[in-house]
Parts: sequence; C-alpha cells; structure tokens
Amino acid sequence: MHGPARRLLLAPVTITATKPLLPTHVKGFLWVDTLFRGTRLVRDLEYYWNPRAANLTGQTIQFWDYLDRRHPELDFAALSPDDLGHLYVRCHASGDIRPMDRLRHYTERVEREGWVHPATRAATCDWKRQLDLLGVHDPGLSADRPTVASIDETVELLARRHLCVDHRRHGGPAYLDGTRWGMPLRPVIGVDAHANYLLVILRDLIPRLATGDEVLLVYDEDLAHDYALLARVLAELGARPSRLPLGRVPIGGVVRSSRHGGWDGHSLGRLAELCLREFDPAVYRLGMRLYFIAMLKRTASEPFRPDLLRRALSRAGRMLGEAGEAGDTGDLPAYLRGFATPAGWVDPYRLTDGLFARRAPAALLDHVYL
Amino acid sequence: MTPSASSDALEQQTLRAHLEARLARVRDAQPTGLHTTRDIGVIAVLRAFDPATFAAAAYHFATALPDSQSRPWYAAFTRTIFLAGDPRNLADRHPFDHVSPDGSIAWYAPAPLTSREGLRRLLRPLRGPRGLTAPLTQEIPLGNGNTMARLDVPVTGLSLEDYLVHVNHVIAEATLDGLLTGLGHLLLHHLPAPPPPAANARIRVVSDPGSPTRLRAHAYLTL
Repeated sequence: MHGPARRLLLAPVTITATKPLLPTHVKGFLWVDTLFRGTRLVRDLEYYWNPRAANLTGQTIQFWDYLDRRHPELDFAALSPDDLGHLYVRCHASGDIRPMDRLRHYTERVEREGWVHPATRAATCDWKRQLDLLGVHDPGLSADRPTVASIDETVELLARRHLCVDHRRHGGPAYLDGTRWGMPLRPVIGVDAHANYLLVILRDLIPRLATGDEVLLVYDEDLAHDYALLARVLAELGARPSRLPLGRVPIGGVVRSSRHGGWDGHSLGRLAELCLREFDPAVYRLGMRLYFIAMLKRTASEPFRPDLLRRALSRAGRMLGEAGEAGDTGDLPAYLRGFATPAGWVDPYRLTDGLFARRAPAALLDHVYL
Repeated sequence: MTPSASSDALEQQTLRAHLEARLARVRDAQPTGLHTTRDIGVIAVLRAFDPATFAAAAYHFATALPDSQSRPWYAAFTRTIFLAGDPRNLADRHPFDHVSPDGSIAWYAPAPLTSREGLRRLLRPLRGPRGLTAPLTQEIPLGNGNTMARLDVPVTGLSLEDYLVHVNHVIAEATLDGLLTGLGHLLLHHLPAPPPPAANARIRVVSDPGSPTRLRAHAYLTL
C-alpha cells in the first residue's frame, strides 16, 4: 500500500501507427499532453504508452500482412504518411484481409522481439517529427515495452477473481465478465485465439498497478462501454481508476474511424505546413491547443473548422505578445491545483479555457503549452 | 439390395421410429385449450464444462421440476438455450433455479423466453468448436438403485454446443418420462463413431444436414 501521495498512472488508449496523425489523434495527444504537463507539476505521475498494445491489434497485423502480400516492393521510408494511410483505407475497404489464426507469426514476432513492421516504423517516425514540432512530450512512441504478463497468466488471474469466463479449452472464446455489474460479457479472445486490445491493456496495466494506485484511462468516446468495464475490473483488482472519454473530431460533418477514409488534406503534417507558413512555432503550439482543447471541447459535437483554427492561432499570437517574462514556477503548482478534478488530475479543458478569460502565470505557457 | 444397403435402410427405419415416437410424446404433452408452449424454454449457463457434471446437472434439474413446469417444457421439445456465463456473478441480478454442486452450471426453469431477455442480453451463446474427446467413460451417480443406464455419444466432428443440445434432450426427456427413476448410475460413453445396433430405449435423432431426406443419430440411451 502507498501513502497518501498516491502515484497516478496516465494510460491513454494507444493509436495504431498505420496512417498519418489526423484531427482526432491530434486532439487526443494535445489533451493528454496538457493533462500530463499540468498534472506533473502538482503530483507524481507516469505517462504510460506501449506501442505493442497497438501493434498486437488485429487491424494493425492484418494491414501488415496485406502490405507484405500486395505491396512487397514498397519502400516505406520513402512513402508519404498520407499514401500509407490511403493503403490502410484500401486494405480495410477491400475485404482482402486474412483471418487472425493465419497471422500468428506476426503476433509471435511482436511478442517475442518487439518487432515492428517497416510501414509502422516509418509512420512512427513521421508522428514523432510532427508531435515534436507541436511541442508534445513523447511518451515512448518508438520504445519497446515487453508486456509483463502473458495472455494465460492474465486470463487465469482474472478467472480466479470471477472476472473472466474462459472457454478456450473447447476452442471457444474467453470473455471479460462484468455481469455482476449488469455489463454484458465482452469477448477478449476469439475462436481464432486472437486476444483483442482490451486483453492487451489488461496484460499491460495489471502488473503495473499496486493496490491503491490511481489510473486515468483516456479513450475514444466510442469505446465507452469497453472502458467502463475495464475501469470496473481494475477497481475490483484494487486500483483506483478514473476516466476521460474524448469525442472524435468530425471531418466534413462525419464522425468516423480513420480506416474509413475521408480525411484527405487534414493530416497533422498538412495542418502544420499551412499554420507555419503564417505563424511562428510558439503560436502554432499554443493555437493548436486553444483550438483542439478549448474550442473543440471534450465531446464530438463540433466539426473540424479551419476558420476557427486560424482564429485560435491569431488569439494565441496575441496571448503570447501580452504574456510577461516566464519567471520561476513559484505560484504555478498552486494555480494548477485550482484546475484539478476530484480524481486529482488537472483538467485540460478548464485550464485552457481559463487562458481566454484571465491572465495566467507566465510560467504556465512555458511549462504546459509551448 | 446389398447387405450393407439393407442394413442402412433398417437403421434409417429404426431412427424414423424413434423420431416419430418422440413427436407423439411431445404431442401428448401439449396442453388443452388456448395455452401455447411455443415460447417456452430453459436456459442453462455454463462457466465450465465437464461431461459428468453436465449430465448429472441435466438429470437433477429435470427431476426437480414440478409437473406444471415440466409438461409445457416437454411440449416445447425440451427447448434449452446454452449460454456462456458465470453463475457466481448472476445469483444477485438473475437468480437461477438450479445449480450444479460445483457452481459451474446454472439452470433457469421453463418460462417464456421473452421473460429472459435481460439475462440473454448479458450473456453469449456457448461456443466450443473444438468439441470433445473420445473414448471417454464416466460413471454418474443418479440415485440409490443398483441398476445402471448407459448413454453412448459419438463425438467425432461434434461441437460442444451441439453435444449439449443432444445430450440434454435425451437426459431431460428420459428423466421426465420416468425412465431413469430409481436407477443407481448413468454410464456415459464418448465414442469416435456410432455404436453397433442395440435395443435402445431412446435415440436422439435429427435430420442429416448433409442429406435432408436421411436421419442421423447423436445419442443412444440403453437401459
């Protein structure tokens, strides 16, 4: 057991590096970055990102297999992230994907040696470059973090606590069992023996959480049912979870996953290019945060609007002009505590929205926004 | 006609007789008047499966049913839905009517299935495509008697979900017909192939999915 100053594990859902960063991803990274950089000034916090979680998903592995079968000649280092994204869309639209029980060699390579397909390595490099330009802390996008607990160990641990129904012995699925809370059984291992992202998250988080540890789960609003169940399971195992669902950013009035396409011209690379033509890098960093956090807000109600982004950048320019010298951080932790949620993390929306209304400590922009 | 063709015809005849006898028994169980049993069914929830535990649970569940519940169920062809789930997590919100001694299988008494929608939404149909192993023999205590019944189940190519359906129908209907009353044990055999012809008290018969005009046997009860 820990003392009163408990550690907080910040665990956002990972994103598969099989496409360029798009507005929904940018929103996620900016919310989590602001939350992380604000909260770490007031308490002990670990930002946990494991690329293996995304690399073990069916969507990623089936895409890798598609590339290896259909485009063995491609030099991914020379391919633009947008073109890779187009292949990703085409792969999932074509139906030309093989069942996971025939792709076990990919899963095994990721598990055994942390292997990453060259396409995903190239996309990750692009992401790192783009996020660096945006001043986003790198949580380890290209780090290799072997998953501590095996699938069997995790299923057994959950089954001991009556949290898993395991019919693998008969070739059946394994389910996460939240029926005691009125939540339906959720398959985590299919009849193809493939473990889905929920089980990978559990394999990753359970060994990292001591009793009483706090964990903040940040996820796409579409995954609300899964994450409600995940939070219950983690609480049952002794952790103290809180949740932050984020809505997707609709493009052209449509909310959809990037694998369905419709995002041309909206990649972060393209936005950066347009913004940096007119604004300097500090204005870009602050303006993007004003737009994606305070103006788009947490839910998915507002579509992406370039005119509003431009307005946010102009406003950021004025804010930076008015800000005084960034002195020491003396009063900053106290200021940030005023924006903490009951769960003890700094609320990115309230903090950012506050920038419009009042003069914030000069150190705030420096430490959290730039 | 070759000997094998004639024995095949004989076998089909035997299977048809078993099927028709079952239909007649089900008809006899139909209630008079306006009652309908169309939507009546039982739900069994399995956390784990073991052949002996399942066969014993199917027997003890059926034997404990009062007439008022067993007759409509019989008339509805002892329809049973098998779901994956953990009885230990269901006891509060969806109290069951019977549970195996090890807590792995829960049974919900015959009722209109529309009244079980909440439970069904919470759980998933049981799936076990790998099926079962043969040969296997297990002796299942039923009561205090000295005599024994025997249930032969050819399991090659049979999924777990289909196995449960076949075995449950045979045990439930034999139990409700009183065939197992006073017996000491049920000897359960899993076989790789159908057993040789015998004087079976019951044969579980369905139409052959590969050839709809033919019948196929899935479980053989011998007293």
